[in-house]
Amino acid sequence: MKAEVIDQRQVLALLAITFVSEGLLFAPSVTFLFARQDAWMSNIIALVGGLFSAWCWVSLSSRFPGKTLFQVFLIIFGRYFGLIMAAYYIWGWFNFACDTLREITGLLVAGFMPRTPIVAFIIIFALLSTYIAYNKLENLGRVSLMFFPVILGVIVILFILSTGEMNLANLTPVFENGFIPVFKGSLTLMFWFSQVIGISVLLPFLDKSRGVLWTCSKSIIISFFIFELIAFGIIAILGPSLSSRTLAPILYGARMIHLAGFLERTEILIMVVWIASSTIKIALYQWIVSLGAAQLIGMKDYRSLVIPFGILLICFSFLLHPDMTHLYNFMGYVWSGPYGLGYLFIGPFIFLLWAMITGKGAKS
Amino acid sequence: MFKIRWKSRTPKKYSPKNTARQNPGGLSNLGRNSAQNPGAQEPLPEISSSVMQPDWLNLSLTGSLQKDLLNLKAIFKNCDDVIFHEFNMGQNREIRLALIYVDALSSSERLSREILIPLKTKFGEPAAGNRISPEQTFEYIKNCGAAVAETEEAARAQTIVDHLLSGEAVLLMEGSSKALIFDTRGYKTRDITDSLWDRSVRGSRESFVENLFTNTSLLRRKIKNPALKVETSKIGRVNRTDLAIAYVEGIVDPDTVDEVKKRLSRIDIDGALEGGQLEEFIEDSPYSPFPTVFHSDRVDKVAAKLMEGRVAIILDGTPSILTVPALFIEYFQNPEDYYQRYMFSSAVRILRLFAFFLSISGSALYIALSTYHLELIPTALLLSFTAQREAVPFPLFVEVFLMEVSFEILREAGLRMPQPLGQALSIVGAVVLGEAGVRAGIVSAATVIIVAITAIASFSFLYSSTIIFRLIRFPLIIGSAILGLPGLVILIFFMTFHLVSLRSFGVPYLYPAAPLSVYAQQDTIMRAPWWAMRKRPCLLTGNLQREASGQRPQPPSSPPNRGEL
Repeated sequence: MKAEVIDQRQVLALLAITFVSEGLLFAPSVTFLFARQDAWMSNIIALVGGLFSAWCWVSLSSRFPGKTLFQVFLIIFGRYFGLIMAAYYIWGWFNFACDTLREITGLLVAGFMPRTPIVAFIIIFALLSTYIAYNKLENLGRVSLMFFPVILGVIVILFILSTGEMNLANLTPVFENGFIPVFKGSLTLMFWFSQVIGISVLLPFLDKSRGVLWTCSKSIIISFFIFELIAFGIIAILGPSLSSRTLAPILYGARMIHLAGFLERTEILIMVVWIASSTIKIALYQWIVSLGAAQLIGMKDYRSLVIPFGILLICFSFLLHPDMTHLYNFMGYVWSGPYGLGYLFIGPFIFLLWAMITGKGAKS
Repeated sequence: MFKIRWKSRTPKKYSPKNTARQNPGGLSNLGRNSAQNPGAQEPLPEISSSVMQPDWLNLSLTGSLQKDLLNLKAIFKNCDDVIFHEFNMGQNREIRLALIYVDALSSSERLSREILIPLKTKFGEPAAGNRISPEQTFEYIKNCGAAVAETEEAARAQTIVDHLLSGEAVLLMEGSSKALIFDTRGYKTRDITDSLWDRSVRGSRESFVENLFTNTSLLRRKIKNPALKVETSKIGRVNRTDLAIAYVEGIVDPDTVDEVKKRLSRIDIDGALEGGQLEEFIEDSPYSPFPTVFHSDRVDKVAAKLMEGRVAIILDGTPSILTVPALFIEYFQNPEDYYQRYMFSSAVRILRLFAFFLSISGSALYIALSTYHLELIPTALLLSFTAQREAVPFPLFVEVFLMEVSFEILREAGLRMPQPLGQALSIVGAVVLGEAGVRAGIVSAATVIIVAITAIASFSFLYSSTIIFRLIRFPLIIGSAILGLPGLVILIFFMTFHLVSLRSFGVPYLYPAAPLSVYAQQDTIMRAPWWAMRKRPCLLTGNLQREASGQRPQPPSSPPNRGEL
């Protein structure tokens, strides 16, 4: 079997989609909740954090060329503790996938199909992401590169169309409650940017590993601009109170667009973008989880694990959160709190230090 | 009262015992071959030419004319269209020859003018002292005897039979273990006409016909270059059809040619009548609804594809020629796009892609919007929809499904029905289904409009591809009836991902959209002017340079000043 190869542009698109897809769902709302009208400054802090996280993961992975994160753990922590760490990270990715699945289906049901049971959408999405993960990574890379410009285009166009509804006075006063809320708001975004961890699994599949850090940084910077557009646009349209109280502020922002008497109801575009980005993200994570599990138990082909994980995905997206509020709070306080940040942000730094101290892996 | 008398009777069972019993029946004497053959009394050797166990495949010529003729006659037993013509030539008429051909496959005029007249008359009296001995016959006839342009030698029965059945004449000679094969093909074929299925206003109108070598000649007339290679072989256990692959050396990727040859040689089929049969053997994803082999019957289209680095597969007996690798975008490219002005072509391309989305998702969108997302329809329009649908007793899904199916029936009937009936029935169909259906309260007028526009949209690109797009429409309708707009979007995303994962002979099907190639967008949703399309699509060929750069026309720097006197 020919090795799967994806190129840098596809990695850029894949990573950026994993960041942006979240920015279209809950993430802005959580930021607005803490930082209110200063959310745009939170984004800048998060950008710095995200770049640091990218540097950590890329440096860690490039010390072990050709190895995915799970194999790296086995090398630097030995057989037993490495296994535990790898299993822990696989669980983490699986948890992201379940949460994203629950989030997108919950919002679709709430926003568009209020009388449809959520299980219908969960099953459909799980089927779709299983199909995508079952196919090769290169197809996922291609499809993400194809949709990424579309997603960017939709957000930019919607931003331009909604300029008429914006009231810049909503963005004042700056630093109303000091710096602490701004920092708190940045944590959630930092968490989403830290999902650049995906590169530590994708790196062995890249056609050339030069300039990976720059690719990751570009994807973070592009997403940062998208997040800024969203933060500015939504707060200027809805105001800080309303935008922090809605689950998916971008949907309500898009609903405000009324142009020329016929260009209304543009939230359909949001729905298209939601489905495309979330499916790619869930499928990528399902692929990572299957690959990691296959590597841990020493299977040659990850594909026979994709379907079982698809079924688990359906179950766990129900089991983990009783309702959307729980999910929202989990996103806001647990993922963006010590659990998630320790996992994605402080963790890599410690791993990198440990690998340097013990002198494992090639020096980059 | 009428009694049909078969010239010869086919044995009911393919067992030698049966044949032997039937032979003395005397009926076979009526056959043309037997009448001409003075040695008819001699029993034919028992060679089965049955498809099940052809015994003759390994036979070769022996050198004894009598024996070879008997063998061949046994092979062609009960084939009365195969003519065995035996005659003598030479000064003393001592050289025995036999000319074998298939009636009406070989032109009898060419046979007599190019073979029989020279052999029977001219060489009856050669120059004095130039006696031809029987040993020299073969070389003599080959070099200066017959007046046929294309001559071959053959010794194996299989080669002889293949040539004979493709319309060539075989000359057997006493004392020679090789036969001469003369190309005297002259069968009737259809004239070269306009393409019925793929039409355009500008550009060459020639379309391929059923004859393979006419088709290759048509291609050769477009690409007059020895780099255009045409390699032939045969396919089909029973029908032994000629097959050719054509490609332009130096542009085509040699791996693709090897792959095509490999896949074609894998085929073991009894009868190949249409390229579509081969298509299902050689495509990359046999379970995909999308065709990953392109086909066309327009000469200019296939020639352009060859010059872009594709391989053409030409089957004898069908005018549709397969080209691989196929890209999804090819179904939206019409030859005329390249002949008319590029701005208009680009606009038409966009229109066609829009028509594609409309044709697959128009009805589904209508169902989703007016069943689940009423708030997305402008209020005035929604009121009008509701008023129209008041009298209709069915749910919208049933209504649309009904109309779609009736349209499909109309389309299929329109294709199959005898031509004179066509117009009458299409009017009846349109009037009955549209007007009367609305008046009777079975469907609403809006549904008729939507189904009609999606149907018409599906005809704005190549017909053969619309079949699959029309099929996709139904799952989308069902999906949007169940899950509304999200369902529709999910299904379209699923379809897109499936398209991305397809490959045609190693080339990603959705290229140049995925994998994204920016410069190759020159020929997708827009068609760049010819002077700007300097490179060929890079995944199809290694030879990128299509034309020289800097060819944009501009007015001369010092225009001739004709305005002044």
